[in-house]
Amino acid sequence: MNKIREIALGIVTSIGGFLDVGAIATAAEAGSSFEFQLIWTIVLGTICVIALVEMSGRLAAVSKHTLADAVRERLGFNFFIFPLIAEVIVDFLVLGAEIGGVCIALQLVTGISFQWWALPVAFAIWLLLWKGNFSLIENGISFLGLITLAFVVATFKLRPALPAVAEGLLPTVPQQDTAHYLFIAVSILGALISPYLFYFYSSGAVEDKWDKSHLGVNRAVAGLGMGFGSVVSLGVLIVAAQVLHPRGIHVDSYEQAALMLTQPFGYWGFVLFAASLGIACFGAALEVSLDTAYILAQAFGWNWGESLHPKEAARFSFVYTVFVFLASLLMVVGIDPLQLTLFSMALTAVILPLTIIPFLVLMNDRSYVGDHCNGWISNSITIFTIVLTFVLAIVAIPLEVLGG
Amino acid sequence: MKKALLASLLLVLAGCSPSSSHDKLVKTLKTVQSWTATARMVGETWQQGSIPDLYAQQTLEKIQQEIAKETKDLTGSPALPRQIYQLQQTLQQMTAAVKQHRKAEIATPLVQLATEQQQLETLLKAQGDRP
Amino acid sequence: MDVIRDVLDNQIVDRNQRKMGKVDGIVVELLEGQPPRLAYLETGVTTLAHRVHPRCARWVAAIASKWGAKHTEPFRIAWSKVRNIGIDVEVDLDAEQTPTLAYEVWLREYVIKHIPGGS
Repeated sequence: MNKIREIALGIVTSIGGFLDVGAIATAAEAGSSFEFQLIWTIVLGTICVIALVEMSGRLAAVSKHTLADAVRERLGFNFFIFPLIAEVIVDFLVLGAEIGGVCIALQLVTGISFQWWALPVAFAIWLLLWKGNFSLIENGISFLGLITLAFVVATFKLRPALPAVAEGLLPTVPQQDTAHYLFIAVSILGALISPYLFYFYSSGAVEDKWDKSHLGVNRAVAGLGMGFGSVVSLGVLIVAAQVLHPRGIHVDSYEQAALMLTQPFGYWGFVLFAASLGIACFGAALEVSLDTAYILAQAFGWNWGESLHPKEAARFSFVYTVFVFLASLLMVVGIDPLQLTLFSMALTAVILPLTIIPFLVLMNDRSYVGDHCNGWISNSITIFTIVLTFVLAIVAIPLEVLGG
Repeated sequence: MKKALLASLLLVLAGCSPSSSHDKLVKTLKTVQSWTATARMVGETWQQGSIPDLYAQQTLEKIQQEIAKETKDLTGSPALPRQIYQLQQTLQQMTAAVKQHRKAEIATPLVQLATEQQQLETLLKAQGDRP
Repeated sequence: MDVIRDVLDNQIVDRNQRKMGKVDGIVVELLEGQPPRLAYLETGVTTLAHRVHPRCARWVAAIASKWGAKHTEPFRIAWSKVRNIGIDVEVDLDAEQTPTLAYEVWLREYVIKHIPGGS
């Protein structure tokens, strides 16, 4: 019974944590600009994420090492310093974008510019990290995150034509606006396959003291959790496709995306969009801040743990404190949140190979995962993802220039 | 390996760069179209009471700014600057109606906006037929 | 035992399972006519920086000497103090008694404690 409860909690966590500013922004852009044609990208990204998250969890449960610990130990600091620095930079930009998402949600509802909200939101994030513990954050935010199911409900209310949706499962490339299409595809993959998700998940598994008996829970959480989160992303895409695309609205700013739930839900739709955006981004901001502190602490061997009192993990707490306030400055100075989101997704795509290659080494190393090495399926998906992310890494920046 | 990468990069660049002024015009028109469609939806949902006043006003103002930015250096079709000017006027009327909370007053500019949207579409189609 | 694989870059924990940095370097003694002997584990950010590039170590030392605990010397742990090598390298020391937590303690005393909720 306890295991079932753990699985349920884990799934709820994934729903709240999977959907973030990147997933919402890219899905809205995809649906409004290209109707159902980019559905395959979300499905592809989800499969990769499920596999990688399951591996992060398995690694943590069996070896009692987090991903960052294991990469430094197994592959050496001289290798690890590259994904480490890259991840810190990307985390900084993504955190700025997530804070931006919360600020935009507040702007939508109050009319007060997002720039004014940046510091208060950063303070709220910091306060929760400082005073809260891991369970509170994991579970509290995730239950609130269930509000994003509004997009799924809206999808059913809008009755999209199923054949058209099914066609979107097949990868196609349109003749017109090819650069823009490919750019959004790359951004979706960068938004879904986020390195911070793996580092955070493995750290969480260690914080929750997982062991070999949790391998089943891990598989359920990875599969069902990420799967559900993906369903919400698909919901955003389909709603945008049903509501915005027919009207000829191509999402270039959050103000446009905010309209999408008004057709199925009226005024409550507007509120639901803002609430979903705000809560999803707030949860993601907590995760990304923690992630940066986790990987730095784990890289250098400091004491770490969200459940620890700040004075027991001074360097760890100091890092997330400074990081949150610095990242919020990106919004204070008025950088466009949507542009920052898309840019950071493209940048994520560039650094992905460095993050994923270690999986191939670690998950086949018996000293880390014992008898639970990768089977041929997991290895195949990993190799496929590495190849895919290499391609993404090469085309991401040129496409940002051409199609962004 | 490097040559293959370079070749594919050049292919992407060759196929996708909007070099000619014709392409720029089409891109501008499409952006203006998208913003116009947004304004129309903002107007309609505001009329139905589905969005807050402040959001409607700020979004309409933002749309005017974006269209102004986008059409700043417009060349090409001679009819266009006048159409954009009329469009901005309509948007101004809508913004005024929202500011004064007069839902009845947005009806007329909304109809006008629909017509202007049609004109933009016709213009875009004409551009598309050119070689 | 493969020293590079099983010791280098691994987590060091003290006798209370308290984390005290990673094995950033290994000091080997070379005596004539004898096989190389593992003398010390070394932990410290300058050692780590040195592995990336010697110039890096100089920069890091320069910054560290001016900030916070102003501690730049790496800490050496004699091999005889190593109790167990498994997931972590357990050593028979008390972390708080060593300089490895210099910055942790400094931040705790001068920054964290002054923030509401930090003490």
